[in-house]
Amino acid sequence: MSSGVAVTEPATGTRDTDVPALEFDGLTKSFGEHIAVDDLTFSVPRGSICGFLGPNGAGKTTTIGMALGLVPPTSGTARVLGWDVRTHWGHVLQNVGAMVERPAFYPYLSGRMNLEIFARQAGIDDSGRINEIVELVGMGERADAKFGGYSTGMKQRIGIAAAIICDPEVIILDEPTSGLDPAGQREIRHLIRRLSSTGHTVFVSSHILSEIQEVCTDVAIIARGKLVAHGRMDEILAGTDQLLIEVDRPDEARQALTQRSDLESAEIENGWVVVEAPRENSADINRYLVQSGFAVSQLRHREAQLEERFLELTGQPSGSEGEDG
Amino acid sequence: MTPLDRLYIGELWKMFKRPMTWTLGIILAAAIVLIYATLIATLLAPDSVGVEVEADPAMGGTLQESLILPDGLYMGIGLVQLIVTAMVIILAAGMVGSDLSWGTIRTMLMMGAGRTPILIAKMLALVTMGLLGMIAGLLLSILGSLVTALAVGEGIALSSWLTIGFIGDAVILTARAMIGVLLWAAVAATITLVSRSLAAGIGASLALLFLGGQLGGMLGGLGEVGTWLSRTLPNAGVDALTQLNALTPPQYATSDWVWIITNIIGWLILLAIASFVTFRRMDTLAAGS
Amino acid sequence: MATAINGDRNQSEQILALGRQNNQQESAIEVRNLTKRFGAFTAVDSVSFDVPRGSIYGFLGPNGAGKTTTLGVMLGLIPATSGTARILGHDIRTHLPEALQRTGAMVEKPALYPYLSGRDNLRLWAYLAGIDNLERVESSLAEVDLLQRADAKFGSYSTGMKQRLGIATALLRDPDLVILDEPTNGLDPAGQREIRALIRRLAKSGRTVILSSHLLYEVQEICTDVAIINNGRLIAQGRMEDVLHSGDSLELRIDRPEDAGPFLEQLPDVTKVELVDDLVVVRTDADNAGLINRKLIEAGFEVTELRPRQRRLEDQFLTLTGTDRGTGGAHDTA
Repeated sequence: MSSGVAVTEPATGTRDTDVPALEFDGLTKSFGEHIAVDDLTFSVPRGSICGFLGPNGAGKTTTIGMALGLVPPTSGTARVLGWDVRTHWGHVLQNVGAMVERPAFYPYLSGRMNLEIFARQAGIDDSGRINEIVELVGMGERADAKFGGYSTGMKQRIGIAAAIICDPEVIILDEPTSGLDPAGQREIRHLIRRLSSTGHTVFVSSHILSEIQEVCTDVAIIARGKLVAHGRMDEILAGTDQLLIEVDRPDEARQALTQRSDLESAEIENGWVVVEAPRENSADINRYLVQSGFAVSQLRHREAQLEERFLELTGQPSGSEGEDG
Repeated sequence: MTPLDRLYIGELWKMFKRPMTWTLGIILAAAIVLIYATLIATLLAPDSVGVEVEADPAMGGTLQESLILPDGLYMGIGLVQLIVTAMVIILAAGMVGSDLSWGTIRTMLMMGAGRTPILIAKMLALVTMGLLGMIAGLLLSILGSLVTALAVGEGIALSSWLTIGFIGDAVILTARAMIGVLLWAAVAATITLVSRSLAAGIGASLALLFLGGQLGGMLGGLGEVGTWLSRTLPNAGVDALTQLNALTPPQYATSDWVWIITNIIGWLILLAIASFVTFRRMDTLAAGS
Repeated sequence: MATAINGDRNQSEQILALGRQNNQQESAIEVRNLTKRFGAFTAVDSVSFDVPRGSIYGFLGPNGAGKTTTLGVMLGLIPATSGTARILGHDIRTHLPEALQRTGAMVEKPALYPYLSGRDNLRLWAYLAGIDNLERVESSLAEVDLLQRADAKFGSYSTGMKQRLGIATALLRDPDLVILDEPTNGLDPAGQREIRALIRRLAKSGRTVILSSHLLYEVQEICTDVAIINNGRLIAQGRMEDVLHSGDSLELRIDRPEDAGPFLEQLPDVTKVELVDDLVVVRTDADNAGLINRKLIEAGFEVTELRPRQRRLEDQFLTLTGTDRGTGGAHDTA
């Protein structure tokens, strides 16, 4: 990517730098009997990339709608950079860019024309900025083709372009990589990181947990309208580590390892010795085995997967994928 | 391979389940009821502008006579044929166009249906629907004629019209009308298939249905060559055949019969070849996107 | 048809699975020089590959690479310009109905009637496929967890439910070969996992599954084989482990990587030592792993991780397809 393209620092029009980018306080939305969002309280730190996760129908879109002032909450407050969305909607609009649901543009105009119209409505009349954004989201030459002929991937890109064209500090993206091929997915991940590195806060929802795990610093998980987990990614993933050991005589090695006091368990799984132990003990375990005369040919950590945690937290069946299926 | 009878019943079942079919059926019934109601009202209006006395030259009698059975059959069948043809055009375009736009044609192929049998089954189903529409419409129009008779105080007098001859006439008239319905179904299905557009299939076919006569008339004004050109139009043959359904049908010479039959069979063969060739070579994957 | 058997279903399943496995040596699909041109544009350019029976075959490529066209030509949905494919032993040019008899596919998107309910859609397809046992419809619905919403119209379904019904349609004929194009599109994580479990179940019972997906982590997780197509050409094909394996290298996490480097270079059979991020990468025969570990420990190093170097499928894919559009700079600053 050429060095001429860069995201500028957002204009900080905020009162206090300690204020969270997004803050939900007892946020509730009910549609008749059905409670879509139930007493949601959490905040998204400024400068973070926060993944917003939940099963289909958990209330994600409604929450985002309330954060943007599109859906009035039944009770509670949503604040953006400290401003109550309901009372300071103007400030919110100036500081938040969002791509929610399927982006809608004029099908008979080119992507660039659409962006120009969009920017002019927002009070920006700078073709340099449009070129920059077009380049940034990877639209390239296709920016001059009609929107109506765009692939899903291009539609996603122009949606993101429209969300960030006014250079808002807080950026909300709903499923930004859906329909993109692997190269497109990676581009969006890079874009999110770049936005974050220039001081923007990114609040992103996605069903593709591997990309959330890779790109996000923070995560909030909701299920049936309720917050079930919130925090830094490493905290969410934290837990006892599993160490997988490939050794010449697995059964004997397992026996030998049971002598140690620092192991919570030692099992044989598909010819591997699987032990649960604190991560910092792994070198010691390795040395112990080697000095006991075993040949250790592989030693790897089974990394905690966000998917596992997600499915546990949202209370959905997770045993269905076992080997015995 | 999916046998033809399963494909045929499948197509009928889909139409039965599809709300559009019922909407069209209701429109057919409503149109007939409305037309008869209007005509009856015209007859009953005390100072209607002399329609009662003025003979309709095409019908060969007064409006009242042309409405009441047995003569009412001829007007009824002409009316029903026109509405049913328009309905079948919409059904045909919908039947072909929807499978292309929804991509369901792929699923049919994947389930083992051959391409040629799919088209044949669709055509058979359309003819069936057309026939059902004709019969239902005809019964409604007979009912309309009976109501007219009652309204003007003539009485039903079953024995005066419900004869073997009348039933035979009804069958022959319906059969002639069905040839028209078949051809128009083929036109609409083929245009939809070739253009891959439901809108083009309906639009072009209806335009031809309603304006084809004028076009033929204009061509006919150009002398001998024009007359022959007008006879090559797809509507010319069936229009000529439909004329026989009038109360006072034209007398065709052998030479007339030659061009009429050649036109109808020629167009049916041409449309069949166009559809089968197009469909056999069709990229059914692009159709759905 | 297997479903006609009303007796011990388990037993018949086992027999079927055995039968499927007996044909193991034969390929489920053999594609030979398959070419498809649209005018001057060559969408599929002389592609040949074999799909082993019982495999879960990842079929990958960037958007517009020719994946869906290849699948469409293989299934007879698009006529080929030249070349052919044999599906379950039947040449698609001459024996398409036989080739499709034991094949179920969902290509591009679930293609079903919006005005019919999920159950009515399946009943219609079952009828057309000659299946009169409606149990098959119910078990397909159960397989994708749609029984509860089976009577709602397909048009009212969410993307995920449409996807499930599309998969159920592909499974209706109890096929030996299942082809699924982006099956987890629009599904939430639990739904994605259910579909992965379903694919594994299918493979375990001896069926062959072709999976086309942009979600490379899921492909890496469940596929046994993989093929990558780009610009209409096949650019990689093979067992997943071979595609991921990048030469004979070991990856080690050691407490003092700077000191470990010179030490490792002295060892026999070690041809190259590199420091990649915070890992030490040793070019050597994989069999030496145990020995190298022992030597390091004897020299007082703390070895916390030791494994053959593997690439992520995503990295491998982006390198092979040349579609990594060089946005790595931002990665470093993050």
